Amino acid sequence: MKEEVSVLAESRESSKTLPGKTGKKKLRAWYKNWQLYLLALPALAIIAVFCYAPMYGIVIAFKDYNVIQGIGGSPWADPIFKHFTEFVTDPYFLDMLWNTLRLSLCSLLVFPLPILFALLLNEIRVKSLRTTVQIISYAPYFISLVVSVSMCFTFLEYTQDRVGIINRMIMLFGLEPVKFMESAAWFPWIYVLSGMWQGLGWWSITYVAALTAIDPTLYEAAEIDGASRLRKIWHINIPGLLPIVSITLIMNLGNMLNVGFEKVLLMQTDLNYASSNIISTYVYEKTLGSVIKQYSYGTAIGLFNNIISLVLLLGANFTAKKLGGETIL
Amino acid sequence: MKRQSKGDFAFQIVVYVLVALLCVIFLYPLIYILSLSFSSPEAVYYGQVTFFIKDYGTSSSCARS
Repeated sequence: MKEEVSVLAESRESSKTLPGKTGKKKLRAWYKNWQLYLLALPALAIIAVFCYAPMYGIVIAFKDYNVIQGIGGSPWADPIFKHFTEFVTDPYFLDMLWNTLRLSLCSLLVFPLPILFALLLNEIRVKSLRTTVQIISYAPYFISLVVSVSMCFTFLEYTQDRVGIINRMIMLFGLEPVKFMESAAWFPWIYVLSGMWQGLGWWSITYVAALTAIDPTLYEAAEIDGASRLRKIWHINIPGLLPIVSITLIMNLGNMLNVGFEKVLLMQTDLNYASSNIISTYVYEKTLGSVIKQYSYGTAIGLFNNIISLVLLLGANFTAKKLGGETIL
Repeated sequence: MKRQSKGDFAFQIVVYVLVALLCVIFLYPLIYILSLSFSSPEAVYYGQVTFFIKDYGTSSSCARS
């Protein structure tokens, strides 16, 4: 990351010092910074080998792939977009799209929580207490996904002979127990809130770091002006966080359709299928999870998914640029 | 330490209450799962474990078998 930045800075500088971008002078600028380009080379190689080379496989989205004939030998799909039209006319299509979007919208809804948590941490004046709270908040992050999902099941279950701790509490208040894991309406919330429990501390790290980078003279000036602590948060901390917030928001928007596939698959039960059937689990269901493995269909769905994600990312970036915030591109 | 105004003092109290609440939320499920893991199967089955280990034993199954 750093190398790339410095390479960019260097190349910008050298292009400034060298007026007229003739081929020879450009070459000389490259030659002058060859060490920096060399440093960037491993990263580029990794991207080329692991991100761009496998993209060749996308071709099977336009073919009737079968394992025997292989990627190259399989016949092309009859109308070339056959698998795409098949997906769009799938009876589950709108449901899946809506489920996927709903999950990510719910995730966006809780997006400010790590920011608030970072602000809260920043307000703890005793340093040892602050570090203790931070470490406690990181603890859930290190639980593996499978364990945390099975914890969800344990806490929320309500069956004939087993009542989870949450339902026991609900019954303690004399309310009707809820079958959380078997209800389609609760699914997005369980998904989002359990994710938030796991990630709150971890995701707040960047914000905490950004808060420590704020110029302390601003606080002193605010103190002299007689600002209360809420005022200081509002006028110093939050504006200081905005650039990072806008970058993470753009990144999250780009990932909107790629909501955590493993977790949704793990949390899926027959009874909450109506709201837990999302595009990525459907791809799994159609390709690896079924007896008849429709690889071409699965790839077509995946490609479709990625194109929409790309459009969302670029849209978010464009909006941020128009609003004058930080952008990633 | 400087003298705080009344508002700032109240703010500080709110901060600490929130932090304590969050710590409970973070830690309780972890401790609960640990207690479940080390309690006897009967205690787990009848829902007697709420916080501490009940009838210590390492042969127990987890609540969700």
